[in-house]
Amino acid sequence: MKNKSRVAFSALLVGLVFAAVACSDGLTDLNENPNGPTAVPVEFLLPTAIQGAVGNAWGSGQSLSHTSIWPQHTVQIQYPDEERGIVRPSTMDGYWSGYYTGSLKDIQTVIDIGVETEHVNAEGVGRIWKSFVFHILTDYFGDVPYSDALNGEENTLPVYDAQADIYDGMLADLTAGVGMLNASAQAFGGGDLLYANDMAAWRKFGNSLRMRLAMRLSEVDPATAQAQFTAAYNAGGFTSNDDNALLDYPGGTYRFPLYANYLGRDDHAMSSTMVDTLKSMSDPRLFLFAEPAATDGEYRGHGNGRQSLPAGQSLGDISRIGNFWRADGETTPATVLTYAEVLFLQAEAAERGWISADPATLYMDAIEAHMNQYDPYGVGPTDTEIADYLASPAVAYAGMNSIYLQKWISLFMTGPEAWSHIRRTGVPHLEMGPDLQLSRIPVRMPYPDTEQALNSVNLNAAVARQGGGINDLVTPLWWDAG
Amino acid sequence: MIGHVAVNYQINDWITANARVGRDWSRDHRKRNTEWYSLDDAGDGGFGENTIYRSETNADLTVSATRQLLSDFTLDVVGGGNLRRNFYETANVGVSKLTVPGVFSIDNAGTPASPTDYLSEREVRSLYGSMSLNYRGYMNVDVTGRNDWSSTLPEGNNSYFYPSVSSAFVFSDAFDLSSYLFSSGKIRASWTRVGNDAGPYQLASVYGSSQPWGSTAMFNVPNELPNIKLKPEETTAWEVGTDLGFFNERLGFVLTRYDRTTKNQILGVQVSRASGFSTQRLNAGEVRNWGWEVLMKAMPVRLDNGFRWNMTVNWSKNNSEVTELYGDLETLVLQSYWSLNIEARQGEPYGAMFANDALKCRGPDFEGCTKDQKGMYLLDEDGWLQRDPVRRVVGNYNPDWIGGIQNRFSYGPFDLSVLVDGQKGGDIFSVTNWFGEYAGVLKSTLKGRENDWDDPGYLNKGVLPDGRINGVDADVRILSQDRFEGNWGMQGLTVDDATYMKLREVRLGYELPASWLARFGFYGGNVALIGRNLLLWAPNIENIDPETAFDASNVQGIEFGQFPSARSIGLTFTITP
Repeated sequence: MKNKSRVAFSALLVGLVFAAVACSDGLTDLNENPNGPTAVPVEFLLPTAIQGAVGNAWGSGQSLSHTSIWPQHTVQIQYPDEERGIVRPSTMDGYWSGYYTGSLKDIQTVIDIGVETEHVNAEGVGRIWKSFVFHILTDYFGDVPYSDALNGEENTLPVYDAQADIYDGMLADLTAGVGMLNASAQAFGGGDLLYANDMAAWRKFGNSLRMRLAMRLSEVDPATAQAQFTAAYNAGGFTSNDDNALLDYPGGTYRFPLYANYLGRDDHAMSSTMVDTLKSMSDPRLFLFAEPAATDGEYRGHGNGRQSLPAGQSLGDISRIGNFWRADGETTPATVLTYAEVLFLQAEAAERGWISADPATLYMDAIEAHMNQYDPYGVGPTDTEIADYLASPAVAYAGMNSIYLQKWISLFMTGPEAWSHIRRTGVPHLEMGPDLQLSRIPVRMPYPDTEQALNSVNLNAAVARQGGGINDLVTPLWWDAG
Repeated sequence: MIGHVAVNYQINDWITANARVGRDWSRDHRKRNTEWYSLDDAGDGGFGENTIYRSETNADLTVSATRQLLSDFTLDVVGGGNLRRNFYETANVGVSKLTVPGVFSIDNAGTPASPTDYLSEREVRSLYGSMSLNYRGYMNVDVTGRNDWSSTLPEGNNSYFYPSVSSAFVFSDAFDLSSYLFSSGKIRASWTRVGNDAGPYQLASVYGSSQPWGSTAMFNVPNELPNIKLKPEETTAWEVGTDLGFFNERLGFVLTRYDRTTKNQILGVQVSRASGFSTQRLNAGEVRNWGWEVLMKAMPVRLDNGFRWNMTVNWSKNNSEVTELYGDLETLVLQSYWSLNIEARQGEPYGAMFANDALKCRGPDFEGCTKDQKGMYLLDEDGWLQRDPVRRVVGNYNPDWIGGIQNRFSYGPFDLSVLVDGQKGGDIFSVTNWFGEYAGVLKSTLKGRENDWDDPGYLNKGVLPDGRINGVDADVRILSQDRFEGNWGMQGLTVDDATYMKLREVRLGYELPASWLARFGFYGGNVALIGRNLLLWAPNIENIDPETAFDASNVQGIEFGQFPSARSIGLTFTITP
C-alpha cells in the first residue's frame, strides 16, 4: 500500500513536470512587458516633444556654450573651448541624438497616430512642431537625414537630404499643417504646453514660423523666399505679444534650463559686444540682460574668443547674465518665437519691397514689442524709458542695418535664432577673438562621430557635396551666402 | 535565501527517480541619504531608496539508471525535465529636497517624490537526457542532449536543441605505461553546442515616461528598436586536451586547446540616431574565440622533516575574431564613452577600440613622410600634434595572455602561500588620465614646464612638414599646456598598454594543535594573516590600476575615476567542530 502511494506520487510529479515542459503554449505570454503601455494618446506625447526640443535648444549646453556665444551675446569665462572654436565631439553626439531620438521621434509618432486615427489637429500641430525642430537641427548641421529619417523600423541608414530640400519640406509641412487645424475637432487635453488647445494661435504660430524660414532663404533663393513670405504674411502671423510662443516653466522638476545651470555653475557671462552695443545706444535693456560686475558695480562684458581674462581683471569684474534668466529664472519662459521677431521679419520684407508696409514703422513697433514682452514678469524697461529710447537718434531708422542690429539685440536668450541671424545677415559685424583657432567664427556644427561610425556612406556623401569634403565648423550652410 | 523540497524514489535496484522543487531568492534594500548643504545642486538634501527582489524557482524531475553491461562496460543514463522561472522586481523612490533637515522620509519631501518601478519574468522549460558509457574505468564516452523552450523568444524560434559528446581516455592505464618518471596520462576531447535565449521583453517595446509636467503626463517613444524575429544564440565549441603526471605525480600538466564560435549573438546594436532610435536588438554577429590553457602543478621540494614546497602555474591565451556581422555591417558599437567606441568590428578581435588619434606616418601611401618614419607623429610646422580626421582602431582590450604563479611552503603547523598574477598586453582608455592631462593636474603634465610654465616647452617627437625629425634634426617646442589641452579630440593618445603584475595574496597560516582544540570539543582550527592586493606593477600606465574595468558587462577597457582594487590585510580564525 505504502509502496503504491509512492509510485503514484512520483508518477504524478513526472506527469506534472512533463506536462509543464512539453506544452509550451502560453509561454510567450509571459514576455508581455508589464512596465509600460504599448499605446498612448497623442496628448501625452506632444508635451514630451515640445519640452524635449525646447529643453535641448534652450539648455545651457546648446545655448550658452554654442549658439549664444558665436553671435556674441554671451561668453564663456571658464573652459573657453567652444569660444575658441574647439567643439567636443561627444557633445555633438548628444545634440544630434537628443533631437532625433527625442523630440523628433516623439513628434513623428504624434503625426503618425494623427494620420491613423484621423486626429487632424495631431497631424497639423505635429507637422508644424516637426518643422520647428528640424529647422533648428538643419541650421546647426546643414544637410541632415530628413525624408528617410525617423523610420528605424524600415531603414537604419537614412540618406542625408540637401538643406534646400529640407527647407522645401518644412515650408510645405507648415503650409499643410496650418491648413488642417480645426478649432472644433479633438485637441490635446492638458498636453498642449504652448497654446492650451487654441488652434487659432497654432495657426498664427505656423504662419510666423513660415515667415522666419522663408526669410532664411533671402540670400540664396530670393524668389522662393518672397513667395513663401508673402503667402505666410497674408495668411496671418502674430499680431501682439499675447500670441508669443512661450514655454512657461512650472518650476520644480521642469524649470527654465539656464536657471538649473545657474544653481551649479558660473561658467558664463555677458559678451562685451552686447554690453558695449547696448551702452553705446543707452539701451535700457542693458539692466535686464546684464548684472553689474560684483567688484565695482560697472556693466562690463568680456571679449569672445579668448583663452583668458585681460591682465589685471578678475572674474568679479565681468557682468553676468541677467537674473531674470539666472538667479530668478526658475519659471522664466523660453521664447520659442515672438511677436517682436515677426515684426522685424515684416520690416525686412517691407524694406525688400515684398509687402506694402512702412519698414520704419514696423521697425519701431518691433523694438517696442520686444521691450514690452517682459511686462508680465515685472522686469524690463518702463514705458518712459521705451519712449525715450525710440525717440533717440541712435535708434532712428536708417535702412536694413537698423533692422538687423535691433533684431540681433532682441534675440538675446533665443540662441539658435540669434546664431542663424548673424550667419545670414552679418549684422552687427563681429570681431574674431584673438585665440580663435579657426579661420572664422563657427558657422556650423560638425557632424557627430556616431554618424561616422554608423552611417558613414551617407554622411560622407553629404560632407562631400557641401564643399571641401571636410567635416568642419567653417564651411557655410547652403542658405548662408556669406 | 535558499529553500527546497526533494523526493527520492528507488524504483528498483538500478533505477532512481528524483523530484525537487526549490526557490532561491533575495531581497536587497538600499537607502542613500544626502544631508542639507551637501554637494548637490541646491544644498536642499534628499534621499534615494531602492528595493530589489529577485527569485529563481526550479522544478526538476530526473530518472537515472546505472547498469553493468557485459563485464567491462558500465552505462549510466539520466533523463529529466526542468522548469525554471526567474522573477525580478525593483522599486525606487527619489526625493531631491528635504523640508526639515535630517528627516529622510517621503512625508518630509520638499518637492514631489519621483518613484519608478520595474519587474521582469522569464521562464525556461527543458527536457534533457544523457548517457555515459565507461569501459574498464579508463575509457569514457558521454553523450547529452537538451531542448529548451524559452518565454523570451518569439513563438516558432523559442524551442532549441543542443547536444554534446565528450570522451576521455586514460592511456597510461590502458597500455599499462605507468612508471615513476611517467606516472599518468589522459587525453580528452569534447564537442558541445549550447543555446541561449534573450533577456525578457526584447521583442516589443512599451512607451517610457518621465515626470509629469504639472498634472500633464509625459510619455516618450523608447530608444531601442525591438525585434520580433529574434533567434536563440548558439555557441559551438570543441576542446582537446591532455592531463599528464610525472615523477609519481610531483609534476603535472593540464593542457587544453579550445575553439568556440558563438553565432546569432543577441546584442543591442547601435544605429544611426537619425533613424529615431539609438539601438536595435539583433542576432548580430558571429564571434570566434580560440586559445590555449596551461596548468602546471609541481612539488619541487619535499623533505623528510615535513617541509613542502608546492607550486601552481596557470597561463592562458585567448584569441578572438569577429567573423561575421549582421547584413552589411562593418562594425557594432558595443559602448561609446567620450567618443571612444568599444566595437565588434569585422575581422578584428572583439573589443576593438575605435577613436580619433593624432596623425601618424602610415602606409600604404606614406603621405607627408617616408616609409622608414612609419608610426611617427606627423606634426604641423609649429610642432603640434595634428588630429587624424579618420577614426581608426587605436587598441583592443583583450590581453595577449594572462597568468599566475602560486607558491606554497608548509612546515609543521605553518604554511605560507604567495600568489602573483597579471596580464600581458591589452589596452585601456583611461579617462582619468585623459582629463587629468587636459586639466594639467597630473605629474606627467610637468613635462615641458620643468623650469617655468613656458620653459623649456614640450617637444613632440615626430616628422615636421619640411621632413626634419623633431627631437633629432629640429627642436620645435610648444607650450606644455597646449600639448596636454590638445589631447581633447584625440582619445588615442591616452589609450595605454594595460600590462600589469600584482602581488595578489600572501597568506601566513598556523594550524592550531589538535590536542589543544580537542579540549574545547573542536576537531581542527587555524589562524592566518592574509594580505590582498599588496603590490601593483604596471610599467606602461600611470595613476590608475589597469585592472579596474569600467563595466563588468562586455564593455571593458575603459576606466574613469574608479577606485583601485582595495588592499586588505586581515586576520582569520577558523575552527572545525
